[in-house]
Amino acid sequence: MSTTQLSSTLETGAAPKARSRRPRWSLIALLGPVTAFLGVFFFMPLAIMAVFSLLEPGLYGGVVWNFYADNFGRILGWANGPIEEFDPVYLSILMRSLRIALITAALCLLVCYPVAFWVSRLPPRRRNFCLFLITLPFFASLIVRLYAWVLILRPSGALNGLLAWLGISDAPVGLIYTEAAVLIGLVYIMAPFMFLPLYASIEKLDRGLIEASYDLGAGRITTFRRVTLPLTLPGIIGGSILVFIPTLGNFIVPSLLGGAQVLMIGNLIEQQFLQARNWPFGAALAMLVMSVVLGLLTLYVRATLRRQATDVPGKEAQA
Amino acid sequence: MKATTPEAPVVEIRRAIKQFRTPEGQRVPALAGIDLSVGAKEFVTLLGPSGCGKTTLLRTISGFEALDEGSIQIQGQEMNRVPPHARPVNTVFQNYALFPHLSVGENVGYGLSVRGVPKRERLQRVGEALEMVGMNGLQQRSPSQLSGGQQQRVALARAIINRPALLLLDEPLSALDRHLRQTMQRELKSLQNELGIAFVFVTHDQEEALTMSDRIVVLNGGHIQQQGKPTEIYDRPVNAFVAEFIGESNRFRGTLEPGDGGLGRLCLAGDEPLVLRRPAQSVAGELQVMLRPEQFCVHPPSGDRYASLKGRLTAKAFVGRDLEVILETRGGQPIKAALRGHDGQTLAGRELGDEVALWYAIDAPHVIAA
Repeated sequence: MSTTQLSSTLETGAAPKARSRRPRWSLIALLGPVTAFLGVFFFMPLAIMAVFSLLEPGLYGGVVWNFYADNFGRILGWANGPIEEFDPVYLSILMRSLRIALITAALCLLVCYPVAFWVSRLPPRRRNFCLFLITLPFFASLIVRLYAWVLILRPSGALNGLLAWLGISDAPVGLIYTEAAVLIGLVYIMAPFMFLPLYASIEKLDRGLIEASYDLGAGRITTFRRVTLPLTLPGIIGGSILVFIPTLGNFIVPSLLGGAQVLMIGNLIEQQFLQARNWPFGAALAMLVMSVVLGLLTLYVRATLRRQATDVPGKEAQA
Repeated sequence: MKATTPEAPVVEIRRAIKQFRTPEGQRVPALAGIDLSVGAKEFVTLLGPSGCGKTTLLRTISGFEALDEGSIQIQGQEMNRVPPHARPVNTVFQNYALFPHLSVGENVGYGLSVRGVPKRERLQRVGEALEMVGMNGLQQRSPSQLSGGQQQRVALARAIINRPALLLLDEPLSALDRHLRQTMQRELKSLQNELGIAFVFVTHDQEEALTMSDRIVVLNGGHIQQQGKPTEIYDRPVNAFVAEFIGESNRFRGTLEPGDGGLGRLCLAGDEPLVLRRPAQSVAGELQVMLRPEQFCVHPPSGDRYASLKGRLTAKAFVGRDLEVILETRGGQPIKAALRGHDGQTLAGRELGDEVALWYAIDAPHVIAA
């Protein structure tokens, strides 16, 4: 948009040439590389996947260049041919993934919200140390960290040892390869993504507003519900999106901690690409996940836009 | 001007002590044994430099700070264990603290809505409160669309809507420009009359304190230095801190010698003695005497008893109504004087460096503790 504005001023000759040409060139110079990079390495693969999802799978992998609707048909219900058949299991895996992603985001929020409050009240030096601690896990490999959880959760692992030592349970509790184990792993790796946006919005919160609320007669719960929560909502929404989307497509955690028991849509896609060598079906699943995410995001953006839209004219009409 | 009301005090503070800990672990006294009571319809100003404990005192009344020792009673009820939201006081905060996510109307109605007042009554009372501060009709605006003065008014309306027994104001005018501040001072005063409730007003601006208050409480270092009507504080400060903090003052330090006819002579180092009426209470040794700049004149009226101080004119500045001059006595003591009318015209015609005599009534010098 800004480039078209700039070029239009060039054409009308309203601005001196040297002045208006410089920003235009620097704009191209600044935006060009990143546009080219994203175009080649992000948009192109995505386009290939979109095309593949509508092509016929080859017998020994690869694709046959025929239009083929049954990739989506297997998932959504119109495939009933001799080769491909509709199976509701794919939809149920998608639903399970959505549920797990939702629970993960909710658990991350529950864990991080109080911690973010606590950290924001620390004196600056200790606060920065805490922020460092929260980003510390990023320094170690994800796989190593998840294997540590395998060691903790397996029947002969640290957790069962602790429980036996405390005398709480004699028989090992089967935690690993359950949905609970997957949730623990996901919350563990996703918590920093929730924490940082939450912390950013909580740290900005003016303590004076909370005092004003108490002063006007609101107790702790009312103050939280009517002042703290609405004012930190941007952080809650931002963190939830940052946790929900990567969790939905995650396949490492369920494959290490969930085994064959807890299959998520990410595992399914991985299997289609790497084991079944059915790229078109994997691409169709991936497109489905992407459209679900886009759909949810669109709903969210619409909702916020509508809120702003209903706010503004009301204000002007009354003022 | 009435200083105290015969009715029962709305706030009664006894031996309030509060200490803060610095990060290094030192204890800093914020309140070092404060006794204070506020009458039911009184306008009390807590005045002092930053760090004197005035804001801490206000926050112990509102409940945001707990006392280490001592007691606070509001309307006869012990408040030490009562949380802020259950106290019958409301606060106008220094930075207004308006809720940015709520409209003006919702901000003002917040106190009513958390108390469960029905919507119809709420809207009506919001309108009334905004009417009192001259802001009715702006209910739908967002606080960010308002000017500083308007935000101030909204904060006021929000604080009075719960009909508190006492309104606390924490330097509410400090962010406004001079002209607006003076307007708001008058409006606050008339609002207080209209509401008939007590105001406790915190400020570091002595002019503001003098204009608005029924009673001024001067604080420094966690202690009450002096409290009284504005004229009392201004004319008869009890110590050098109050004399210095309120208004401008010339202070002379010396020893008092008895003179004839009920007069005394304050012997100053390197200067002629300063003549004054001997104070009623006997004072011995070194003491300080204060003269306000406006207590000097150049042409003393006949009939009254006047004495003079002489010095070289070192500076003069015309500041509107007054001519402000600074004299330096032989002993090196500067004397600041504010002269108006004929006096001012006379000195305006003199050159810097000229020897000048300034006259004062011998009743004017006020003796304060050394």
